[in-house]
Amino acid sequence: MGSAVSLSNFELMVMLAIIRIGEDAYGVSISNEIESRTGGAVLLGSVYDALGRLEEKGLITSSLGEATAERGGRAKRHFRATSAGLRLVRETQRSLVKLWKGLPQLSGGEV
Amino acid sequence: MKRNAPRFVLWLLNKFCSGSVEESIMGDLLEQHQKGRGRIWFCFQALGIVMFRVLHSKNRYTSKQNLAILLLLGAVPLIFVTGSYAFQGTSVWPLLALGLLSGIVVEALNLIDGTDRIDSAEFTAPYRARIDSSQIRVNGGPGSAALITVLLGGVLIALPELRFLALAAAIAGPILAIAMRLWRRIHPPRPLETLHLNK
Repeated sequence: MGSAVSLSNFELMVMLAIIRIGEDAYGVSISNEIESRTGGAVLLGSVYDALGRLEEKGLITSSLGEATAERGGRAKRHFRATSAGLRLVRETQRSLVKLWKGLPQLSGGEV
Repeated sequence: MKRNAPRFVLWLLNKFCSGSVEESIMGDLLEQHQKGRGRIWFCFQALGIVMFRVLHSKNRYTSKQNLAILLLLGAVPLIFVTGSYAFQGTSVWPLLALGLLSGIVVEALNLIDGTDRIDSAEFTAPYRARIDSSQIRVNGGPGSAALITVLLGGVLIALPELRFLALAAAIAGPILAIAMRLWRRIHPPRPLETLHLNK
């Protein structure tokens, strides 16, 4: 049985980026990761918007890091996936793979 | 070498992004700017952040404030694009555009501050007839000054015979606005507990 909490496409991308980056996941690194993997431009505002929603859902947690002069004395906010978040990503992957299977239109590369 | 971020954009961010998360966002932007990202990137990202914050923080801003922000962000290109077609080759256009723009900025400044007189009056409950007038904040001083300066500056250019009057008024506008701000700084509004309410 699936979880009541669901992930939008972009939220899933953000979750995957956080998991992939690990310790140093913060706004810019998440944005860069999505940009480099998908090849599209990402607005930092939209990343933080998704991060806010994910934190509200309890799928990620955040903690303040060090403040540097380079950042105008502002602290970095690091993000980490919670166990509920990891579980939901796994469930989403399973559901998507099930949906993918047996679709001749999507097999074999170009549409 | 330290690079300076665009001041207006920083002002916008400070105005709309206040909180620990928003501080981190601003830090991220500044960090990237210092690492070599250009001013256009900085402005683009900052405007995106403001837009997302405004659209997704329903409790923080009133619908009037959201409308003011949208007006402010949309008015400038709209006025210049439509105006350049409508008043091509006439001398009315620059004056009209400046007047319209200033009016929008003044109203936006008032609404963004969120303490127009109607909002202040909401503090009074039914049966409590009297409001302490010190609770009504003086807002829009700089905006009003900008409006007066720009409009009278236009008069100064368009109607030379009114030059002295326009010049005097253009100087008086900012002085009046600064005086109003200083007055409120010296005599700040008292906290709500000290409202003199009739029983």
